[in-house]
Amino acid sequence: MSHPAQISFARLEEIVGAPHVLTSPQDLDLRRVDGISPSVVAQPADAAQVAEVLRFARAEKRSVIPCGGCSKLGIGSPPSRYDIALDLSRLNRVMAYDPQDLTLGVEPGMRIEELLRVLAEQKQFLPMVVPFLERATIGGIVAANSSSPLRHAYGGIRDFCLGMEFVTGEGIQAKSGGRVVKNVTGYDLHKLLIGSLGTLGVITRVNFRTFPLLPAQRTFVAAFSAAAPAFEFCGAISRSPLSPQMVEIADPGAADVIFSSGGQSQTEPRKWAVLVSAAGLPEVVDRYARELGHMAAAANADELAPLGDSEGPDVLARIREFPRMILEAVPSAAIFRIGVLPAAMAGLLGELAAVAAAGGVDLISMTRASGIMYTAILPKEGEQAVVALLTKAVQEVFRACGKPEINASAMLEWCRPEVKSAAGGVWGPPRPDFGLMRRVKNSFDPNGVLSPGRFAGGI
Amino acid sequence: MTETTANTNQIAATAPASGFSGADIPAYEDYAHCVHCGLCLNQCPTYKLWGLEADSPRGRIRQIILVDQGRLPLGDSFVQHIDQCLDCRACESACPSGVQYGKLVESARAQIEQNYRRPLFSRLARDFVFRRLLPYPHRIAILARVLYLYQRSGLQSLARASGILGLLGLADRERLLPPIDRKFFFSSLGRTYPAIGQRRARVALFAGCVAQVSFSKLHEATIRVLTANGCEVVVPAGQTCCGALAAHAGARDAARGVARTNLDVFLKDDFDAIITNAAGCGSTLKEYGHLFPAGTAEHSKASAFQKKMRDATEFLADLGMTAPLAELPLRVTYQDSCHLLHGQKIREAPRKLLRAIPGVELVEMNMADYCCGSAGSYNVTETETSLALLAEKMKHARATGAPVIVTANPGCLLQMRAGAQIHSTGQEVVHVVELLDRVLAKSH
Amino acid sequence: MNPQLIRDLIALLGPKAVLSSPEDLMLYEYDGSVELGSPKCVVFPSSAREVSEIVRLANRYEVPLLGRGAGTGLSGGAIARDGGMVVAFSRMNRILEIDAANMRAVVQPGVVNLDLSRAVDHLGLYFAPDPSSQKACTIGGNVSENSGGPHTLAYGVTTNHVTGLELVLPDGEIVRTGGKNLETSGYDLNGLFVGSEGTLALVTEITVRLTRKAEAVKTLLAVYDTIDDTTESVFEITVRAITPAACEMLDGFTLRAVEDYVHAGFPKDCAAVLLIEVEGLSEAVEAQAAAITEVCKLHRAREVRVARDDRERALLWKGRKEAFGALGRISPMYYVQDGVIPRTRLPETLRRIAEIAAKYELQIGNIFHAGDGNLHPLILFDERDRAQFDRVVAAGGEIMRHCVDVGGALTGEHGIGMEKNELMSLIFSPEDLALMARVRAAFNPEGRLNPGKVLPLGKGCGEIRIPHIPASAATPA
Repeated sequence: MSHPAQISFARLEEIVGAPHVLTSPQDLDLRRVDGISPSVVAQPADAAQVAEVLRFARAEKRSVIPCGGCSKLGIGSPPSRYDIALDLSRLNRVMAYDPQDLTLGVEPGMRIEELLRVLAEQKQFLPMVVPFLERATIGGIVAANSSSPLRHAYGGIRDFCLGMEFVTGEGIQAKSGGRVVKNVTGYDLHKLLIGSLGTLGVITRVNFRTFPLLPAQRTFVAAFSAAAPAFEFCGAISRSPLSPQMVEIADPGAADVIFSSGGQSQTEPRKWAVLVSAAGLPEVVDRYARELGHMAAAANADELAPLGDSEGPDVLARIREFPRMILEAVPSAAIFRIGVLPAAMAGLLGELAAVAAAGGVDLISMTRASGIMYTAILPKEGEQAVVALLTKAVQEVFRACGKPEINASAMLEWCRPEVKSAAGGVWGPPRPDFGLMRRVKNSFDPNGVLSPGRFAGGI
Repeated sequence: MTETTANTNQIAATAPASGFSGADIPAYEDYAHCVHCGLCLNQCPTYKLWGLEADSPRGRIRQIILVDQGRLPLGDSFVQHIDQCLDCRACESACPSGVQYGKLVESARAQIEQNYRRPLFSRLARDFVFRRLLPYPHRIAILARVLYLYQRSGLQSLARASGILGLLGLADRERLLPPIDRKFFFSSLGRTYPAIGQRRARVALFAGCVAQVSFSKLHEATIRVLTANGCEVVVPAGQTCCGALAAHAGARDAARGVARTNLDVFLKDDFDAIITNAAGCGSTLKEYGHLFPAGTAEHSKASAFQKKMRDATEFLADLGMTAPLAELPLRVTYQDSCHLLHGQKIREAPRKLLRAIPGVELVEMNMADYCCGSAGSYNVTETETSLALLAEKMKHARATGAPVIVTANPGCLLQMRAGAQIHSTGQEVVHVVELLDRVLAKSH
Repeated sequence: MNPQLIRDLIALLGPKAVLSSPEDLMLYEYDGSVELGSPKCVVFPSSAREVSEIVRLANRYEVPLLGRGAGTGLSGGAIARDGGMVVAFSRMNRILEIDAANMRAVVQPGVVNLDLSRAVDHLGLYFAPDPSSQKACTIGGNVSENSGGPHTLAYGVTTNHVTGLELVLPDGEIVRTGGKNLETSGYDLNGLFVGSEGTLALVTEITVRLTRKAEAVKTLLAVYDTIDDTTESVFEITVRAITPAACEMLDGFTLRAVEDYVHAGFPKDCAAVLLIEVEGLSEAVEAQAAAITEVCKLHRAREVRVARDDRERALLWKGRKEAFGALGRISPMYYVQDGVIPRTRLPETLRRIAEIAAKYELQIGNIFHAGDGNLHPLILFDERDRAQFDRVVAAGGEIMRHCVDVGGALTGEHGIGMEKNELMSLIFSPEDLALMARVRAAFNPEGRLNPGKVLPLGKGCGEIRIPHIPASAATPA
């Protein structure tokens, strides 16, 4: 590949203004991806500037990685090239909020915490209870398709995102969907951008439907001595008329993490915990208390108790921040995000336990009963050959997920760059639909300007 | 402008002549209601079987329109698809626009009868059945005697055992023939049966044609149930076939002939109601008005007659059962007769009567509102299709686990009795009225 | 059509699975819309393998092709606009698997929407997308059009319930996207294919989520003397964040036709009704029903009635779901629109529609999904009156433009098809459309699959396209 060794900073300064072209080591370091630093950070003010930067990058054969709060840049394969960090923090406005219509249009650089505050003033919210809450921006959450425990009741981002505006790898401003809650006008291109890790386009506006805050909320914790009764309890909930806000299954290791602080552990060590949130009218929440009690008893739960007002928010925050808490405690941890069916969850956990036992690693899992499991592989303390052990364990997890009776879809979300390469990638074994993904990529970004090498199928 | 738009314009411009002529032309006013929304498709037994638009109600209406517009000849293809219609009218129940499909398809058949030359054998057979057999009770009796001998003399078992029927390709068809009673109902014509207890109504019984030689026991049961519930039952002499088979087949001239006879016979006296236990006959009898042009004297007679026509189940459910009923611990399932449900829009009456029997548990059959394949003479003219539909029906009937299947039309009874035999479900098939009669009998 | 292609198709599928005679083809020139277009042959595959072979033959003979389910669509999606071949899925109609434990079903595309719900009813489950044509329309068609229905207000449209697809691409490749899992790593290809109106691939198998039936359901009928009161009620229900499962409006004109058909007890002398359904735990349902009643009364509802039993509830819904057809009783032709507006703009929009009706001297019925702002103005006309027909086109265009002007969309559930593709430029810039075209070309490079749909052809830009002499239009001889 031949391109000038030096990027024309002057041209970038022309586009976004000199104060918004950053080259200091700290600024570059903050936006490192898998150990690779960009040459420059550009901070556009609006979609037109985003488009111009991308056209410039394309002409100059430079690669661009969009970023915001920089909390999730580690997700994805290591980039094959990385020249410009496109920092979208200046695109941080609420463009349209119609509380009466329960719809919202927002720029990608807005932080979720701030947006939730704006919505709360109108007694509304977005069901995006995601990790790195105080740093994460809308653009990053959407691009990483961050998972929220509230998915159980509200679905994923794809289910409440109404439309988007974005700039393609060729610097073309485009949009799809719209601002209304029901719409089949044209292709749903915005769905492709959800979870695309910045490989298709740079999001410049996202439209959502918003939801009313519910009057009362309570979270119940049931403790179990083994996995089987915990999943039996979840099965009973799923067969019941109850529709909780969230159902999370913490294995003993995960339970330690989420109940760890303040010494007020709700559950004894080595117990499985199932956390169920109910929301709605007070009488509805009371009904949950009664029925969950019966179901927990029928599944031989050790106990079922509501989370107290004092520790409740902390426990919920730790569920939300689960991957982050693991990473902060064990920076070398490898964390999978696995799509798995309810009936296969117990089986998969069994397989994973076997992987851990054979591989000399610890393994803890937090499972969303709706079908998403976070599994962290932790090297044991003092272990020397960490990379080798993790690599082996990662490969074994992919293999276990691929078993026909499990049939889970795994992606290695967080891990050290050395492990990413040594384990043969974070996307798991090649699939036939990777070919279709490449076709999509070529439509949006034929020159590979955006986040090259980061996505499935070598995209 | 697209090719299609051009084509349509061209057609409109040249306006070829309609393929219909003579009497009973399907009316624009009737078919224009069809907005081709397609809601009828999945209710149509033949569409479900083959998945062909041509064998769906929407497709058949379209074909009628296309023939009327002169775009489609009244030829083999048209005749085949119109013939294959069961005329079960399930599509009418499904149609939000209120298209009277039965009327349309019967007009189409009348057009075929007039303007299409069927193969010789078919022509002769149809002419014999519709014009020379069904209108004449004594001829039915003679034929029935012959059949009775065949069925009871051992010839039937011999023929079945020898496989001769199979060789002739008649094995299944033969099973669908009505079994012939030993004693015919004709002798009851002209009689009056007094009400038991206080008289609550005076009704006439419509006895039909083939039913008189193969369903005389059902007629007797109907009379017993009606009289037990305070009805004086008159069986007027001189009545004849209702004309349903002929009308469905397009022989509307023959249907009009028998209709005239029946109008005269039943309007001579003043009844509170005229009762039939055959849903197939009932829906035609209730639509005698369709046979005669509006404004004619015959049309107004038909209107007066229609107003009095009641299905036995409809009448009994409305009147209310007063006769004491014995307990019958029995699980039953009810198969809707198309011409009761779709033709006459009667769904609840038979169910209400069944539920009124102490001890009877009514289990709904999946797809009870789909045709069993009997469809008048369809099981004889389109045997293969009829048997395919029957196989589906028996699958659902068996799944209910009910030892008894109840229905409301002799044709359906015959068809499902054959079905129970062919598919060895071991189920008994009875008419609603027969079941009522059983619990009456015990209480006496 | 090339006779050799017909012979090849017969060799592949058997004679009973290929139609090529003019009398048969005439029956595939229409669907539920007012569009027309005659194919040159119709084939009935029974497996993905056969579909793939059919696609390869179409490529070899350079023939356009498109899929068709039950042909109930309302935007001409299943119409062979450029002739060619119709791939009819009516015989691929098996439910392949019901996985109750994971609340999934795997179906062939020809399975009828309601038949799936019936098949899982005994498990306490159902398939949530409930288009009004659900007793006839196929799930393959739902996937192509991303169909919605009254209850999508609470449960979402088809795309929210599809987790996996098996597709035959225009080059004949058979490929799977997603699966049973809630999510599969990589791009959300299901999200792209669902709602692509059959222009990217033919769908040969679908994995859907099943939904647990609610414990309690209450159906309310609020009766109004003015349209304004009706729309103001909807507005306030939304504002108060009451979330009914469905909130449908029928105007008095429509109601009278509907009531003649269903006899559900719809009042025939009112200006409009709202049909509102609340679902969930019995405690929540009671409270929501009370709150809704309060709002409706506040906005001068003459009466708020609760359906007494399942039968009455079924009748009310039958009236709503079959309302389009019921208008066939009044007028042989109607043109249905499907625009969407922000829910807060409902009152002014209904007033605007009434003005447009008056201006063009047309009868416009309104039956629609009020809760999510998805309008269905039905413009009635007599196809034999050419001048009136021109007014229908003009009025339709004006209503559409109004929807766009207030920040809405061209279609909420019926699809763009061949009816509204020239209107796409009202919403999308040339760049937006170019990107969509490029995505289409990435899968369907020759444009052989369902040509002339979704994206504008650049003819008659900004106009609704409905044929001048519609289907049953030619005057009787």
